[in-house]
Amino acid sequence: MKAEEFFELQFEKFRLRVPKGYWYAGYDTWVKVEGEEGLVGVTDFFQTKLGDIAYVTPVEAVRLEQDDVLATIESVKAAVDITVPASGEVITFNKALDDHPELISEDPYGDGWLARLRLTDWEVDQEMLLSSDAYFRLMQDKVARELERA
Amino acid sequence: MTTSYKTWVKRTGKRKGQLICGNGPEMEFGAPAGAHGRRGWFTPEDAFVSAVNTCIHMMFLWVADKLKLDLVAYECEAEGFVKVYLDKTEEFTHIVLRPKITVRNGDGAKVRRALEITQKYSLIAASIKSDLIIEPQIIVQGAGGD
Repeated sequence: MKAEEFFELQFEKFRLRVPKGYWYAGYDTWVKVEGEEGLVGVTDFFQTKLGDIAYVTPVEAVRLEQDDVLATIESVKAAVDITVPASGEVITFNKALDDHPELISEDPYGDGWLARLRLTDWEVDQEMLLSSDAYFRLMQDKVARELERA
Repeated sequence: MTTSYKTWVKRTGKRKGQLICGNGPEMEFGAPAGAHGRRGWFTPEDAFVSAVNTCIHMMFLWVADKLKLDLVAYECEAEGFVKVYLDKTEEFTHIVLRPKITVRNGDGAKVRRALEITQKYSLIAASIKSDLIIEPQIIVQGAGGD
């Protein structure tokens, strides 16, 4: 990823990236629109907070509405439900995560994607999502709150 | 987020004392035999190497459970290597852990990943300046094996 393609925040020993051209939910997931399909995953900030990932368990549903649970991610320190940022029919889940869940940590916006959807209500869903610069500002606020808590 | 742990020590003899740990245990401790102490005493050097060994042990059990490893047995020897400098100051330069890990129906790669995560999340391992070297012996048993 070239430097002009993402925003970046350095926090403690971490460099948290937010690529441009993706759409983000306030609860730290993203969707990258490719024609009528959308690739979804979790943000760098989210995977960093989660720590090393042990397992990803996708839901069995094939049709999801925005904010439905898409998968459960279990890390060394926590287990969390991941909600989907856009409505759609599941085309596929990322099978590579079965054996290599660490891909989410290594490449959250690339090889660590969670699912590919056929988007069913994108124009409406998009209104609830944040652009990359808006999410970057939100992430900065979240990081500041983490610092206050420290 | 921060947290803390406390211990207390009190002199009970010329080269020994009483240790009280915040979690409850109490024990006598003293200098090692090679430093004017006696054999059989729990020493600071024992405590240091044991802290690494026990923390890695507990974290490995936790990670093995998270990764759904079918763990049959775990045991580990830890050895701390001390360098003595010209001015007689000393430090543990490195600690070698030699865990012997037996799993059932698994693969070595998953055990090695568990060890990497273990080392990363071990509070003690992350807090020491000595190098930590893990030399695992991994035994994978087949289905139905003992």
